[in-house]
Amino acid sequence: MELLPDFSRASDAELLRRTASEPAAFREVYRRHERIVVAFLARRTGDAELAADLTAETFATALLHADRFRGELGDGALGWLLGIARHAWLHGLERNRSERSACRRLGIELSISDASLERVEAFIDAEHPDNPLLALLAALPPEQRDAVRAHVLEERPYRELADELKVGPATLRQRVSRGLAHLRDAINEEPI
Amino acid sequence: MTLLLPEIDEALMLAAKRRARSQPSSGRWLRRRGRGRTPSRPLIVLITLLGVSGSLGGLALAGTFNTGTISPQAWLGGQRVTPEAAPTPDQTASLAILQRPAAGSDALPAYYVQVLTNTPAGGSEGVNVTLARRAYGFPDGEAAWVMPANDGLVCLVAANAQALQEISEPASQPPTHVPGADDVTTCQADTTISTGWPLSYGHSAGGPPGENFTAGVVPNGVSQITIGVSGGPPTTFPVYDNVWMGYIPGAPDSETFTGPNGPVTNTWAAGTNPADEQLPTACKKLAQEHHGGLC
Repeated sequence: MELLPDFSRASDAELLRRTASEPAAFREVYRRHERIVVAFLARRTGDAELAADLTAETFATALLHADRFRGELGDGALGWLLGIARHAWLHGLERNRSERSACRRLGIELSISDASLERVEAFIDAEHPDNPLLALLAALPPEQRDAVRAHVLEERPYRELADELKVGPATLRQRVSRGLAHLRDAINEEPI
Repeated sequence: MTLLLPEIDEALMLAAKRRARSQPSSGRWLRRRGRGRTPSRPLIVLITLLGVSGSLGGLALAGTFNTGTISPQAWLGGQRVTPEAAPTPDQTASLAILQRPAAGSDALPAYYVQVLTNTPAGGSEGVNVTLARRAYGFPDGEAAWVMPANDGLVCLVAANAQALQEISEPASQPPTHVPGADDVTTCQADTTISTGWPLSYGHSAGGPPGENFTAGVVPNGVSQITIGVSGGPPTTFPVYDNVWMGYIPGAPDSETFTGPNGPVTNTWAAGTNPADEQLPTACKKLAQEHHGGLC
């Protein structure tokens, strides 16, 4: 039996630093952030298969560039991953799926099962009763929920929202920040 | 927790194992890309507090310098962010460095302009690099620049002498690595300056073993700041033009300085993100009582 190291207490930065020599470290990065990356892409593409494809490209890019992550200690890799995901998505609008360069470079060929795609579809349909993010979002304090929904899901700029909500941009940023932190914690605890 | 897409997990693991097996030692394969140059630099980009708008943190230099033509701000769904037009009154009131008329020597090096305007991390924040003011007085060849960004953010670039040497090559490609080079690029809300700028620090790539390069901004009138570290002695840094920087022997867990409103001390658990933890005590209490009501 293969004994795997316990990476559960390692920071994202440490995991990414160790990825080149210890592949299992990257698995932990994937496990931690897969759901939010999938949800992020699923909401934008509206296509479960494309979202899965772009998720693979996002993590493949992260794997190729793991040494470039220089996060603050305690500051996870999620923002970095979502930046890559956004980039992959924007390019994905223009490029054919077969041109996914990071997956190609790593020799990754995927065949996503129907069961997996069904799980991703739940993220696309905001009204889907099984959408786990929706339930977690609803459980946030109202100020944070509204801020996350408006800025992250609806992609409205801070300045516009701050004017509308009559709060300072810094306050709004903090609401989004804390809301996302709560979501991350909740997702990690979710026994799905 | 069941994975949504276990197929990707499996494929990534196979790919990662292949890469690890094919390399003679850890990390080397990653450094050989980029036209033979060294793409990995000790660069920290911490933009926004914990943004998941796709704009945070150490973000995606991957691909940025290798793509030839860079599409400014293309990261934002095609929407270009207009850089902040001027420092806010709050910024100029608390930071004398931003009151000073611009001089030629204030110009931000091209590499950092690139980082702050053409990466997802910086591009979405509306950093106005033309408003950068350089902090002077650092004794060992270090340099720092302070500039405004959108939404009341203040951005800091702090670099040691080796980092400045490293970025001095006139090229859009990542420069050749200079041993000991360390720098920090960070943006924080200006409202945090008087109450203690959340520290920005990173693991040193070439600095003293076990030490972290760190830097920050403090309000007018502060002459020094003391940074506590977990399990080690505190380190006091002099302040030059509202900026301090230097190495600390571990992970920071406190900061202390005397500001215009009196002594300021902020503490946080070592290893956590000060930017998230460093709300004033009153704010924390309020947040706890109101489930996240924020100050």
